[in-house]
Amino acid sequence: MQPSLDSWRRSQLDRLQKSPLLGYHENESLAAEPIAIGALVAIANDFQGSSQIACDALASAQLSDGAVSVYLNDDGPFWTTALACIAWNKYSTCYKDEAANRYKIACDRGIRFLLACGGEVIPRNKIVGHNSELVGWPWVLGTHSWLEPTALALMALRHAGYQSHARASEAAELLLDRQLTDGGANYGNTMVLGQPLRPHVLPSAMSVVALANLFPLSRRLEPTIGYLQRELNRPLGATSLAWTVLALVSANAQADTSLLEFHWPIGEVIKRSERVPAPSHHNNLILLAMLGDRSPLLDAPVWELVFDRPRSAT
Amino acid sequence: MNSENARNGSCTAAVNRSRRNFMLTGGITAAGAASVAWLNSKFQASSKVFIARHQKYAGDLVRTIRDGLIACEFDPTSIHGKRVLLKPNLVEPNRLSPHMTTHPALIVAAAEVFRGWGASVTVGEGPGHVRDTEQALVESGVFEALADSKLTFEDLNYQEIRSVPNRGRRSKLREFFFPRAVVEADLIVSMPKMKTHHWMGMTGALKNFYGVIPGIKYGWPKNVLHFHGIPETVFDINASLPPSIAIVDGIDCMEGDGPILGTLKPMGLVLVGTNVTAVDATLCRLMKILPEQIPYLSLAGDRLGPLADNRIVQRGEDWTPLASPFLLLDRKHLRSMRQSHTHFVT
Repeated sequence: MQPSLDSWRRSQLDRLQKSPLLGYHENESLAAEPIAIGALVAIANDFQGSSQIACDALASAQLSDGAVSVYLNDDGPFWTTALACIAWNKYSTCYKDEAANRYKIACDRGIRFLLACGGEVIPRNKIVGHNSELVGWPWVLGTHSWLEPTALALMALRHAGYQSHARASEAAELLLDRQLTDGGANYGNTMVLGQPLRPHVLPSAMSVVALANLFPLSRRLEPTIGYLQRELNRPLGATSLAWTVLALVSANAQADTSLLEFHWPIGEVIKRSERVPAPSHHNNLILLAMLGDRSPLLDAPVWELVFDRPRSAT
Repeated sequence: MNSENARNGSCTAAVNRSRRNFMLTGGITAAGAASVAWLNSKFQASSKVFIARHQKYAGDLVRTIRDGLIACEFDPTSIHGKRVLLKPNLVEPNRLSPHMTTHPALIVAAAEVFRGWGASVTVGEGPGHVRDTEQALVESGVFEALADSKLTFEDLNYQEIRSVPNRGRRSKLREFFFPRAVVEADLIVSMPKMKTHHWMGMTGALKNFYGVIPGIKYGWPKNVLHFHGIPETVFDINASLPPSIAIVDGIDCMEGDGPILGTLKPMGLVLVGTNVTAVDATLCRLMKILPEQIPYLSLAGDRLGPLADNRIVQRGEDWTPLASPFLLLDRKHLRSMRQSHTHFVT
């Protein structure tokens, strides 16, 4: 790693170790996603105390039905339950203490919540191109399923050992269904009024990470991986870059996963944050990406996916 | 989450849970007569619309905007020491379609005008299609432009939120969660791109305010609003916001399959107006679209502002010689939006 990147990484890890609780922006309400991402980085760097503080905060915020809200003291939306489950699961895997037992229970309750809810199904029609009858997960209960919350829920299920569950298979089918023909995905629409839509980096990358270790790698993902490789050469936001690095590492798309290929884009994001300070959450995401194949998000078990029914024709 | 937003029977326990009072909550008391009176007072605002032609992004946009606001009898002293929030349209990363989003030059020019009048200016947006707001800022050139001008940016998708009553009550939503920067603004400036819209016919200053709705609470896309009706929620959001005006990027516009995939249509226009509905009605006429046929404008007409040409005071250029038909998709729901069946595309 280049000296400047290494010193940036050390200072950010120091910051994370001291302050594992955070919101999306500095001095704002504690939020589940930033805390869970920080917890994953802390666990990977063996900051047990910090990761326990983060996991405790998530557990304290868990509601009676197992859900965890976007803001810890609010009552929804609940898509962040998936991220909390991943953080608890990773802690329980790494450490075998009393807290790990509590988190195991919290994770089980969170998974039960996820399995009990889903997106609103819309009868298939000619207006949109995707299979709108797949359930998946929504951002907000009572609305349609979208790509990113479905990817996060699938990751949570896989890491918790539920990858043989029918909802996991359906989530994988949804993610593959919503890939664009020429590669990439957007928030979750492939076509509207007969016109193919454009891909966006972040949901494309999250699709690949959610389907990491899928065997055999679906052909539907290959154009998306190619799309992400091309986008890596363009300026990316910190969030998109972090997930792209993880996606390409998980797909072994880089000949060498030593992260050398990612130094330039990571360095550009850090330079940008020197001009306009980035939220700590963004820096934590970059720290997560810097873990490469050591990222806790990428160790989902190998999954030989067999669809129970014929694939949709889109 | 608002329990009215939830329709998922399998999660009724979750969605019926009583809200925890963590955020500042405006009392949800505005209803009935109070709402009508409030809307009427908003409608009484000036309905003057200024049009400038032959505009370029490299031109003197500061002068154009300043002249336009003065022509619309905007009082510069009214914002001295006040907070002005500029709300451009950065709906998604635009590398393949720069004409999709508000040009950074117009944003910076507007900021210079309001700063020159002693206001504290910030720029805020909550892109509707992407969670990575930074990506939208970088691709559009807005990140660089704001940094160069030392303008702060408020990410409306992730900023702390507050509950405000739905003063419009055309949808079933009882309240909106607005980002702090929106609630605290003394004036919000809608800075849309002049575009067609494949569902609504056109999108302008009113619809641009979908971008003040935080994705963190409503999703990406802001699907809660769709489930409650696009026209109804556009109306309700506009009825519930602090005072707002509009400055429109009508220089490089979009026609056809807008608001994302449409084609470039150069118009060279900048529009300024102190009544957002009147500005949108004028945009329609410039695009040769019937304003009263746009679903959210038909709701806003005579409630939030005038649609009729004879009730909008025209300043700057006359719109009639500048009008040029914007191509619309040839779809059933759009065919009534133009007087004659011309300038439709498949």
